[in-house]
Amino acid sequence: MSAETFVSQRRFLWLWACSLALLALGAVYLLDHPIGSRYGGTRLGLIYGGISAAGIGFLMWYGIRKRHSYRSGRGTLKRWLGPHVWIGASLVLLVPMHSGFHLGWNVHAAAYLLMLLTVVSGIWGAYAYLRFPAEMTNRREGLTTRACVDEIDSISRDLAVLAKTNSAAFAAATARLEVEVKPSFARIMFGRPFHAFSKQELSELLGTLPKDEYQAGLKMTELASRRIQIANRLIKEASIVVHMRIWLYFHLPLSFGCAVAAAAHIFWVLFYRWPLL
Amino acid sequence: MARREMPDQLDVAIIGAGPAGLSAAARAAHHKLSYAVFEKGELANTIYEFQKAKLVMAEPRKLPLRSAIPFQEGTREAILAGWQAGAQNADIKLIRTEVRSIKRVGDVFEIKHGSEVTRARHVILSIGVQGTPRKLGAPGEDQPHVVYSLSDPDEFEGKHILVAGAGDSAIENALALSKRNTVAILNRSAEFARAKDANVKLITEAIASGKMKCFASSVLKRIDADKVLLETPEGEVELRCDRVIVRAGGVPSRKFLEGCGIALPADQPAALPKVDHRYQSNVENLFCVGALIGYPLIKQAMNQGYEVIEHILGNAVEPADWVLIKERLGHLPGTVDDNYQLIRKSLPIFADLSEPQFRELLIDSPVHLKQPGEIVFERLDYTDTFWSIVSGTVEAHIGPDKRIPMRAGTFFGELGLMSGRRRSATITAGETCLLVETPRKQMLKLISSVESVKRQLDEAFILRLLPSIFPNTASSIFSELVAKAKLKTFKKGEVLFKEGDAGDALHVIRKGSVKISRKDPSGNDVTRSYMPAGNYLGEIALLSDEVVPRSATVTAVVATETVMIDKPSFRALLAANPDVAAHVQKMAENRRLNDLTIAHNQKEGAVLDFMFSQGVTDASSLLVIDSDLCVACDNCETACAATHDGISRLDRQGGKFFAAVQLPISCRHCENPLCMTDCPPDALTRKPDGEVIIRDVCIGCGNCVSNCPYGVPKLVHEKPTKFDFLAWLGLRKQPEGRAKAAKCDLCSTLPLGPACVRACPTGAAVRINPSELGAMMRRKGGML
Repeated sequence: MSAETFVSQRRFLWLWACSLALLALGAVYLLDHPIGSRYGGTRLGLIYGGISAAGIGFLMWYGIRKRHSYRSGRGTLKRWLGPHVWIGASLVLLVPMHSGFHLGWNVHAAAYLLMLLTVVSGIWGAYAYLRFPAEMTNRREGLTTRACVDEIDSISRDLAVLAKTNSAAFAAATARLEVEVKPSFARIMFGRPFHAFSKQELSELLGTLPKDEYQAGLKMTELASRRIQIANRLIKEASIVVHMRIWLYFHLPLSFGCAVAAAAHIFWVLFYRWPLL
Repeated sequence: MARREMPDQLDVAIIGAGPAGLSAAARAAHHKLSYAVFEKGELANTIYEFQKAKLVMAEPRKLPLRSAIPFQEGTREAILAGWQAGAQNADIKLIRTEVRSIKRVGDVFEIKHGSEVTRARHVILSIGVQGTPRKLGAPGEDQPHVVYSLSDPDEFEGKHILVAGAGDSAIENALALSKRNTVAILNRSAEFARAKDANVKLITEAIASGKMKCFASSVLKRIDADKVLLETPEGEVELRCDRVIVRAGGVPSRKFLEGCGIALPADQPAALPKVDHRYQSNVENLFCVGALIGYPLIKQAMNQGYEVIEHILGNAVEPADWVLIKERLGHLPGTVDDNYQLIRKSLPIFADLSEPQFRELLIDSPVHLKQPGEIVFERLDYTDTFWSIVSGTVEAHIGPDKRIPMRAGTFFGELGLMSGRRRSATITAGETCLLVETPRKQMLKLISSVESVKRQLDEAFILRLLPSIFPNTASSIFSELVAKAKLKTFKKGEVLFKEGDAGDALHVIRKGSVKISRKDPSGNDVTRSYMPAGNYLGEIALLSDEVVPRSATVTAVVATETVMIDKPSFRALLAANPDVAAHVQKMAENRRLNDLTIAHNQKEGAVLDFMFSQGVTDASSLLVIDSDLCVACDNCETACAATHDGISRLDRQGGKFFAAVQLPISCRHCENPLCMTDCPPDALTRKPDGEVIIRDVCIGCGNCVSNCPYGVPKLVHEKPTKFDFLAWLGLRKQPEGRAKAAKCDLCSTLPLGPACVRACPTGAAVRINPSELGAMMRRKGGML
């Protein structure tokens, strides 16, 4: 990768910072021998819980920072995305240290499970963000989306003029080579291209035209083939965009779920169960 | 129309019933003079021919109106109705006829119109500059369905219309009409060469897509009631046609004016009559007012109409704009009159301006009193005003220790004005000095209308540029060169000279920039470098007396102006100055060696070509997207919209790509902003640090939208200020607010810089300058 990415920015500063912090916290965890067993209610457990809760708060705050701090806010969004990624990943280890690696089928573990799913979807997103843009670039061959759309429009106009000024057979042949103006979501999602007509199919199509329209037919097939080619390029690009965005539809609801579950967990242990101990 | 009982001899004959003529008539009526108003078209014909509902402005806002005829900003209809009513109230009657000639016989003018002759002691010409619409000379062109203007294209539907003409108005009419009608456009020549680029593009597209038929290199042979006969290169064509709109430009009034005895310089086809402070021309008792003497603004024309009658009566009248002069000069010590006279006398560059022209200049130009050492402007500022020194001195700092003094009566800042580039030197006050700072628009107007201003600027430019290129040369030699140097203009893409041509002249780039290309071994033209204003080129072929072929092709990247010095003059300069000759020789050698040692290849050429084709070299700040990083989240557009009234000023999906570098559609804050060329209220301005912004006085005319080659400004509708309950319920359409042009302002009001860049989660969007972009493109294209 030629440029510095949100993951690698400042020479992986946040990876180093988070790894060092995890190592330190892990060492303290191993050195700590509380009375009874290690669990979330020990002094260290509470401290680690507090750090994790602050971490979740920071991660959730990124969403607000991204959407609402256009006028103010320090630094660029990219600078905030680095710690978002690496702190998020660190929580996968930090939270179990908080609970002393106790897991059961209860509200506390639900918070952890949701957090794990959020982090996994986030890792998927980070991967998508790092990998797909370059793929799109390779396919664009120097044309922007707008230029592709404009070219399709202009070809469609030319084809409409051709169809109008020639015979019905010509118009029917033109219609055969039509592409959908609004492709289905499934077509975009799975990147299914439009049928690219083979040499033989085009030749057969030309055969259906009256003789004096042969030259116009050649022009028409040339334009229509070009249109299919561009439309397929757009489909592929759209498909990549979908893959680049779809994870967010999991990541966001999961993160809210995780935040709610974590809040429930904190409420449970601090205000509800504690007096019973 | 009923005619006023006319005495044998009128006090005043007013030719032209525009705002100036009407106002003069009302004032003449007030003084009970005998007068008549002659008009060949409609009352206020120019405004009558405006597009329906067009907004007419009342500029300059501060100028008081002095007329019995009312006028304030409003739509074409409201203003015409107001003037009709005003003319009726003042009992002004028009004589609807075309005046054919005006001759002075003894003390009286004989005005020929139709078959009649009217005599008058004074004549006021308020005929504007539109001239008479050019006719085609085809039989049948006097029928009612042949018209020479179009105020409302929506009036027509389902008609067959022929638009004759190839200029902007013909194209605009044809395009507007083609939405609901079958339109053909008739062009005498093969191409649309006279029109604006944007219009040419639109009409070419419309023709290519079959929306409109075009008859190029064709002429109109005959017009019948429902058809026309055309002569085309393919033979005669009969075309169904129930309306012909002729937009073939106007025949200027020059012949008519010369017939009246008005002196106009022979070498300037567009020259306007000169008048004295009473608006009297070189012919005694023949007065000219309004657009005819360079005052296209309605309010000024109306005031002049009032004043000219007072002058005819011999009444002393303070010009209406004198209050603005008082405002302008009020802060200076001494009386306004004395200061005005001092400034008027001290500036030779403006000596040829008429009194009203000079007042207008001064009203627009702040006057500064600067104390010794005070900075006037700094090197690398983007300001583009023109400064003249009334008294005192200033110093130009051109090196760490080098200062050039400039004395009263001279001027500076003309380089920034002409080239649009940053200031080349810091200027400070030497001793206490009085300076006049004239805005760019005012100067450009004077350059195109007053010959002596243009000449002095051209000469000063050459005289100031040459010493920096050829140091240590006696200034007398440059004075000789100035007389021989020619200014040449080149359109974008035009070739200054071709590789292999015989070298015959040196070019010094005054404005714009050029690219230099040479053929590679396989014969492809490869772009090698770029040269902005302030450099010279073509010297290599001039270094010997023999005929030397040009070693490279030089092409204008943008509209470019050069000072051309022919080979003999240049050789003479070198012969007289061995030092200069050595200097030029050294420069030429340097350039050749550079050419040998810098790697040139197709890839590098491609980078440069992309940058030129996208006008990058003219940009000061570019929004660039690294598409290896862009995740298409559109947060940049969201951020832009969130900080700019809900409308994004950038188009991420548009623009152009080179390798993995995208130039989305977003303002580049050009050094020579074409959007600014034709902004009626001067709403587009540039801040000292280079940002081009649109001020709130925008009238939404759309000129910047069509003038920007990069498709950046767009017209947006202001949000209505009042809450509309019915519209909210969906019971009626929300009325659209005033249209205004909008574009990137670099988030100049935000302390942290452009929101689009800060909101990019992956750092793909950056704002950089052209050289940073070049580096980025080379890196991305694998050249570094």
